[in-house]
Amino acid sequence: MEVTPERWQDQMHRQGFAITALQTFIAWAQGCAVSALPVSTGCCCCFSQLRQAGAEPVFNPHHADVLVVGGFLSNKAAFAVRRIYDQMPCPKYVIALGSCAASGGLFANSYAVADVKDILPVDVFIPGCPPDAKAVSEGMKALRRAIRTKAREK
Amino acid sequence: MTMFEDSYFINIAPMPAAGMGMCRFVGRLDGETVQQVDAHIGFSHRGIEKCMESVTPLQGLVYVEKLNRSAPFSCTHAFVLAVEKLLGVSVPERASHIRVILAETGRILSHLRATANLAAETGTNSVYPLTNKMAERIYALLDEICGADPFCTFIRPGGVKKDLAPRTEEILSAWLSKELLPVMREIEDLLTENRIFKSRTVDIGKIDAPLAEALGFSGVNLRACGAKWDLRTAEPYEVYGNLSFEAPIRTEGDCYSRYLLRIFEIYQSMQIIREALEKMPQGEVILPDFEIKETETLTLLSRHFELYEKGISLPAGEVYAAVESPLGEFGVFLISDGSARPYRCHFRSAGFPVMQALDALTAQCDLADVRVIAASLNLITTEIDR
Amino acid sequence: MPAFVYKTQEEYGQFIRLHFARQDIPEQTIVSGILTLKVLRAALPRVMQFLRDDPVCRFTQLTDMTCVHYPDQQDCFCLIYHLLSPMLGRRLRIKLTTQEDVPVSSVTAIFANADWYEREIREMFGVSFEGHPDLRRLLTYEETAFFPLRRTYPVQGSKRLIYDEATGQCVYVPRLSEENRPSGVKLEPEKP
Repeated sequence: MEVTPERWQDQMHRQGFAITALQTFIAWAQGCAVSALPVSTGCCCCFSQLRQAGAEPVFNPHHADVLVVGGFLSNKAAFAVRRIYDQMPCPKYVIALGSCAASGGLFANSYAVADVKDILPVDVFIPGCPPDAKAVSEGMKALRRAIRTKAREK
Repeated sequence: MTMFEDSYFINIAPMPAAGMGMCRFVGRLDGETVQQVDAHIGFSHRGIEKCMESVTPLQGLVYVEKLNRSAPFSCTHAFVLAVEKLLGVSVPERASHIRVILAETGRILSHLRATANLAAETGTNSVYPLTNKMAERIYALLDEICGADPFCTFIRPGGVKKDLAPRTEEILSAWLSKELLPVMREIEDLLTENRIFKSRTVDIGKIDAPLAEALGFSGVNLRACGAKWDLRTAEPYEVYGNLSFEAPIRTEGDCYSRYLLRIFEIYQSMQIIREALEKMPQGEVILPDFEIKETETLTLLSRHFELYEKGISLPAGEVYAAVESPLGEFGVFLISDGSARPYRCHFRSAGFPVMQALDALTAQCDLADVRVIAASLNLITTEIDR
Repeated sequence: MPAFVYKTQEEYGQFIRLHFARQDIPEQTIVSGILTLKVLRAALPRVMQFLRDDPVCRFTQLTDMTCVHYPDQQDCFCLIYHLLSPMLGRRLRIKLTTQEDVPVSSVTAIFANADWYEREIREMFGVSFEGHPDLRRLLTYEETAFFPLRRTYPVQGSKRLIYDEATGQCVYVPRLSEENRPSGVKLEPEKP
């Protein structure tokens, strides 16, 4: 049987050891409490549930782990939002919150609205117009999973 | 723009005032004094006017109510009034009363949010929890009485979607007297005589009535400088003509008077809701031709499908309808060429002229006051940019 | 109080037309309860000035200003001004037609808030205004000229914005055809 790092880790875990890569540990720590940078472009109040779901809003890109695009992203705003994303320190993640951000929603056919997927590498899509509290907390769980898988891939 | 020797530019972006949406101000300053504010808008531009040309009026309601999240009923109300004016129909009395109740509930919600934003800009963050809690309560209440949150296209051409839930009257009056009134008292205790709040708002952002009129102000912002202009009484629509109320005015025209007027209007809206509930007759809530419902008879069913698929066909013509939204006069200019879809649909947003007057209002004020003035005007960028 | 009280909107329109030459205001109608005057392009500033300053009119507020595109007609743009007199409680609609290359004189000197309205119309329709202080784009951000609210422009737009990894900038690329779009619901404007 080939010994892979996961299998080895699993074996050690069964024997009562907790061994983890530093990267995985950091990812776990980040997954527990993330600082979210909300970009309130949309029309709905998607951000009221964010805090309950374990994300603390910060208003400085240099302190943020996650960029939350709430609502549609107009062409004019896309330039600014991409610049904000570029200023964030790595590792960084993006949540598209609400139907408009996730799939274009109502404004998918409009000349003035950009697709969030084309501008930013989105990790988690949270649908709903506006998304309810449960959807947001599910989305945060999905983000934690995404953080772990991303860390393992590195 | 020329660069002066002792003046410099500063970026106030991307969210200058809380709850306002995305916007950018470029201010030219001389020391701490603002010389000029150039507002850059369009970050929330979605091309709704263009989208409206490709949908039927009933589908278009969904776009219209996304214009202003604080008061979605006012936006749909104006649009529906325009459609009805073009069709030449008048809605049942009961529907009219229901619309007034919803519009006034929206006004309360919007004014509460505006007050909280203004308080936050002056450093009183403790109003936010109160208003957020009340906003959640209003959403729950609307869920209870009409079955969905504000984005529910409840106001429709020909009336309203369905009748209010039974016991609405009790629920609403209990909410008004037992929940909203204590919260209002608390907000007033926190702000009205607060010395810090007053020193940040009194005599700040002053404007006089003739100038405000010439700059296109409307609603609270205009009434705060002494002009008596309220569309609910000046050009009565729905049943506002039968209700006894008078638009309040203040004469100072500063941030504080705008705050006082909003607080007063919340109390007034509470009274209007009570009166409308009292006077609301029984009967139909939507004209039979406009009702979308599944029925057993084939003819009615085919009518249902026709309405659902093709929408109401508008007669050729053009119409302008406006309502007194919480932000001011919200108007809809609709041109139809006789097909099911509008040829052109233009929205007169209340905040658009106010936003461009920001330069005049902030002339020679301190940098810190720009945000206070913007918050006191209650600008919502989604409505301004359309 | 004004010296004359006009009972009907027609009489009121006639009163306004008395002050100008016949060809300046060739037509008056009442559309959905609002008096509508058709004004010649050259006479616009004079008419606006009169309507604002005359004690019987007192249209002190430009409530709204917009434009409509009629691609089939010779004068394909119709500008529409909504005026309001809060003192007398009256509304008035002014209409004038123009073409793409013919500039309309700006009314910013008469109504200060026409500034952004004219900027928006310039941006959305391509109507140019003479004497406007600053005709930058207002709502959209784009180098090349495009006029989205013209009837001939597609709803989806002709270009879309993507992030270019190579240059590290957001760039506009031509839009894919309808079939290739991942989540496109076809919504064409109905042909009249």
